[in-house]
Amino acid sequence: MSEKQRAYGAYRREAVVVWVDDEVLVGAARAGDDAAFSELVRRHEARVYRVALRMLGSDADAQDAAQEAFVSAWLALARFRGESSVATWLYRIVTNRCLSRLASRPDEPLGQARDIAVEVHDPARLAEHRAHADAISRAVAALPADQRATLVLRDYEGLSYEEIAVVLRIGVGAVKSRIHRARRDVLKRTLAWR
Amino acid sequence: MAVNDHAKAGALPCGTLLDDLIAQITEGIPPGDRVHQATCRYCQSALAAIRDAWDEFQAMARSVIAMPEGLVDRVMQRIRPLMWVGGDGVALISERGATRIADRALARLARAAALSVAGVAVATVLRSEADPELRGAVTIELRLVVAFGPPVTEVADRVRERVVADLRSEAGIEAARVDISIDDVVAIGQEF
Repeated sequence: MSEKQRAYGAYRREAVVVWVDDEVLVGAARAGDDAAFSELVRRHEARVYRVALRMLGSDADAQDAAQEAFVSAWLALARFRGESSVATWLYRIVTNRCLSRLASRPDEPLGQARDIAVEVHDPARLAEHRAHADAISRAVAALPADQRATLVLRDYEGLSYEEIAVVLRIGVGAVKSRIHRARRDVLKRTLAWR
Repeated sequence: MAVNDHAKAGALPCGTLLDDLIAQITEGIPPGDRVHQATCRYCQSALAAIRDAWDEFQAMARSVIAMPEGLVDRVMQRIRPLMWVGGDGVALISERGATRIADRALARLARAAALSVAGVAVATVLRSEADPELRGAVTIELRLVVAFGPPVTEVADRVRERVVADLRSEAGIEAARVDISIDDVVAIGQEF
């Protein structure tokens, strides 16, 4: 079963596969239809969890933040006006959630997200690869939280500059310069730690 | 000196700033002095190292993260107690006490009633709220996706009748209005 088919799974009747737009599900959830909301959670849990994991560094914190983000979304349903997509709206909620968590624990070091990129079969290369991946993870974790958020949204989630500007409520120029600085600092640290 | 020492220093022995070389790779900003860069071994080895690190970063950024199990269920467990928030429901008052029925319960009953009508593929309740003019009555707004076959207006009429009848028999509530919009018509079994 493809990813797309699975996504509709929970919101269909037997033998019918129908795509219901996110915006319709938001309207239904607002009216109290919890099945509609749980379908929204199913559709968006991966992106919300990924951002939280990349921002907070540990699975436990990321799961907590993802749950809190969806609870906030539920409570804010009435305020969703459809000016941005549901995905953008949820990116904003989870990013803010993570930023305020990080602000309340400024000195606590980040855990390391377990990022292992590509399959490497040669054992000597594998060790080298792990060391490099580890250096990158540490370099990303060392960024100031607002820069890390921008980098995560751009390079991990693939959002456009314009979308990130909407998520973070800053100008496109500010997005570009933050991304530039974040990439520069990550690469510099990665190279210095090798 | 190796590239990592240059990274700590910020500049190469030829005077080129590491920041500029990084911006060249990550942002596509062209070098100030192409001729120098093409012939300078410091620049060339630094560029190669930066390109490697950038490729590794991008590969890592694109790597797939395993989803934790059961996140949806845990979210829904936290949301269900909150469901009274945001809607008053409807109150049925008699001399022996008041019964309050949440909007969520009404929405669920209305949705189930609509789905029980043949030819209805998807039903979402957009609104279920106490009618401001009639005590103990509600208005319901439904959106439907229906199957090809029977005329859609007949399906809508049957849904309206069923919603009214079920709310009356299962909750003792009068649906004063049932507004229905048909969002789409699909072939049963069709996949997109």
